[in-house]
Amino acid sequence: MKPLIELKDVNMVFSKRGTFIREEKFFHVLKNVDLDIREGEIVALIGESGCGKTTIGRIVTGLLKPTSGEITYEGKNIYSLIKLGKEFDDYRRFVQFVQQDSYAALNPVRTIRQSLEAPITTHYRHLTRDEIGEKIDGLLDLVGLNPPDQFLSKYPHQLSGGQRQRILLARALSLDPKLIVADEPVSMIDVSLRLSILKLMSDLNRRLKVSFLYITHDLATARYIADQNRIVVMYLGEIMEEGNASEIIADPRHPYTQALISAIPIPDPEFADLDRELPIKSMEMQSLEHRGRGCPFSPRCPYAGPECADEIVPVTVGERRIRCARLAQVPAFSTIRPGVIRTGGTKP
Amino acid sequence: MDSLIELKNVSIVYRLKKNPIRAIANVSLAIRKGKITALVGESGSGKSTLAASLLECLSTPGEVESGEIVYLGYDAPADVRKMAIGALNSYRWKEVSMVFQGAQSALNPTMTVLEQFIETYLVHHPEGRKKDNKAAAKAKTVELLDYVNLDAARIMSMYPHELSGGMKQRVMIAFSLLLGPKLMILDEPTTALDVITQGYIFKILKRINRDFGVSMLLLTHDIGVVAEFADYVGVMYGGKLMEFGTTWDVFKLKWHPYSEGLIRSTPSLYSDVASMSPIPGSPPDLRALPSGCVFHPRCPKATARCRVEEPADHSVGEHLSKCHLMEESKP
Repeated sequence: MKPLIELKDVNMVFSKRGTFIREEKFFHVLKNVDLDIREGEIVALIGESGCGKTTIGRIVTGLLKPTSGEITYEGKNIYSLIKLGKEFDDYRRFVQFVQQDSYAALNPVRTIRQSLEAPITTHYRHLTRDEIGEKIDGLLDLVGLNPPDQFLSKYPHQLSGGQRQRILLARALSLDPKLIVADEPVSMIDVSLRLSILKLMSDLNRRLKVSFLYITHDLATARYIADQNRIVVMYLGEIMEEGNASEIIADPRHPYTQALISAIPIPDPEFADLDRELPIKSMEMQSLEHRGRGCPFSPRCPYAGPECADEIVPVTVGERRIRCARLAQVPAFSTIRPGVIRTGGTKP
Repeated sequence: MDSLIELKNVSIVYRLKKNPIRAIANVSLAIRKGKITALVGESGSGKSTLAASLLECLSTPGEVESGEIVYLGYDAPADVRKMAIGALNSYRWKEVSMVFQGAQSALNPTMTVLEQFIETYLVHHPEGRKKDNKAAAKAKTVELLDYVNLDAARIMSMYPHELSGGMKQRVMIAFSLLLGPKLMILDEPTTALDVITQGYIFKILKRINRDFGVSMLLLTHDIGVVAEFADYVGVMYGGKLMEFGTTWDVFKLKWHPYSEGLIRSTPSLYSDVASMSPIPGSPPDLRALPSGCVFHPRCPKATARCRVEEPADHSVGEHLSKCHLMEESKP
C-alpha cells in the first residue's frame, strides 16, 4: 500500500515566556517522529496526556507547522505545495479532522443542515440545491442517523453526545476525504455508546476505504478499532513502539508498552489481581523541559543502563519497530504478566 | 454482613421551575462495613447525587424527598437527614470523607498542603491548646503523606499547582484520611489520570482498606476498575439501582440485561473482539423516563410486560436484580 501521509524526522518545539521571569523556556514536544499512514489503513496513536499525540494530529491536518522535519502528502511536501494553490486545497480537503468535544466543534447557532452544507457548498460549487440535499441525506444515512429529516433542522444542543459525534463524522466525510484524523472521538461519550461510534468508524474504513488516524489514551478502544491494523505507542514526544495491534498487545517488547499494558485493569473478576507489581521504577513522569538526548522513559525503566543516555536508534523486528537500546535485557511479557493473555478473534 | 450506612427507599428530586427531575427513585442500598462497594453507571444515572446525599450536601435545588439514610457507625443508629447542624459538621469528614473527581479544584490553591491539613484538623479539634493540636496535626500529616508514598518533608510546604495530577490525588487521599473516617467516598478518583498512575492510586486505596479497615464507596463508569478493586457492585441506570451483588456474582451470573450489556460494551484487552457489542439506543432523559422498566427501550430481552409494569427487586441472598426475568428463572 502507498503511504498517504508521511512524517519524516519531525520535531516540534514550543516556547513559553514566564509571567514574572522573562526567561524563555523551550519544550521539545515531538522528537524525531517518523510516521506513515497508508491508504485504507487505521493507525491508532496511543499515549498518555502530554505525550504529543494531539500535536501529531494537528501537524498531519496541517494546522501546525513542525519546527523541523518533513511532512508529505502522496509523496509531495505539503509546505512546498502552498504556492501551488490547487494541490494544497486538495490536501486540506482530503485530510479531515474530528475533534474530541463535539459540542464545541459545532456552531451552536446553526442547524445541523447549515453546518453540513457549508463545506459542501464551498468545495463542490457545481452542485445544485437538490443535489446537496441528497448528498446530506446520504451522509446521515451513512453514519446511522435515520431518518435524516429528524436531525437536519435541529441545533447541536438538541442532540446527544453520540449523535453529535456522528454529525462530525458525516461532516468530515462530506468532502470524500482519504484520511480522517480522529482525536479522542469517544472519550466524552457515554460508555455504553462508545463501541457503536468505534464500530461506525471501522465500518466506514472498510466500506469507503478511508484511512483513519485514531488518537487515544485508551488501548482497549484502540484494539477494538485497529485490531488488524497498526498501533503506535508514544511517550513524551517519541514513538516507543510501533507494529501490528494484536501482536503488540499480546507481546509488547518495549518496557514502556509493557508497563502500560500491565497497568490496564481486566474487566473480569476472574483475572483481577490488584497486587501485581508494575514493571516500573518510578511513578513520576519527567518534564519535557529537561529532555536529554537519550530515552525519555529511562528514569522510570527497570531495565535501564548507561546506553540509554545516548541517542537511540529504533530496532526493526519484522513489522515491529522498537526504540529501545537494551532490548536484549527486557524480559518477555509472558514472564511479567502470565496467564491472562488471550488473543485472536475478528470483528463481526 | 454488617452495614455502615443503610439507604432505605431513598428518592431525590431536583425541583426545577418547569418540571422536577427525580434523580434517584426509591433506592435501597447497604454499604458494607470494611468492604469496597462500587456504584457503576453512565453519566446521569444518579451515582454522584446518591453519594452527595450520604453527606447531606446535595446542591440546590436537590433534596431528599423521602426515605431514610441511616449511619450505623455511632453507638446508636443516626439518620443523616435528621442530624442537627453541629452533629452534621462533626459527621462530615470525621465519619465520612470524600475524594473528589478533580483533585486540583478540591485543594485550596492559596494554601500549602500542610496549612490545609492543619486548618481542617483544628476545626475538628476545638478543645485543648492550639499549639499542641497544631503539632499533632503536623505529625499526622507527615505520617499520612508518607503512607501514600509521598516525600512528606518536600510536599508539605508546596502549593497544589506545584504538584502533578497523580501527586495531587494522593494528597487528597491522605487529606481524606486525616480525621480517621470510617467511610471514604471516591468519586471517579482517577478519571483525569493516565493508566499507570491509576493503577498505582488503586493499589494505595486497597492498602488503606486493608490496613485501616476503612469502608469505601467508589463511583465510576469504568468496569475494569470495578472488577479489580471492588467487593460489591451496584449498577445504576436512570436513577434506579438495577443490580447489586458481589463483584463476582454481578460479572459472572449476568442476571440483569443492563449490567450484561455494560460489560459487553466495554472494550477490553483480553476478551474476544467479536464478543464486544454496544447497547443500542441512548441513556434515558430523566425529564421523560420511559414507562415500566426504565431500561426496556434498549433491552434486547424486553417483553410487553416490561413496557407497562416496573419490575420489583428480586433478590437471592445478597444479590439483587430489578428485572422481570428473575421471576421466571429464579435460580
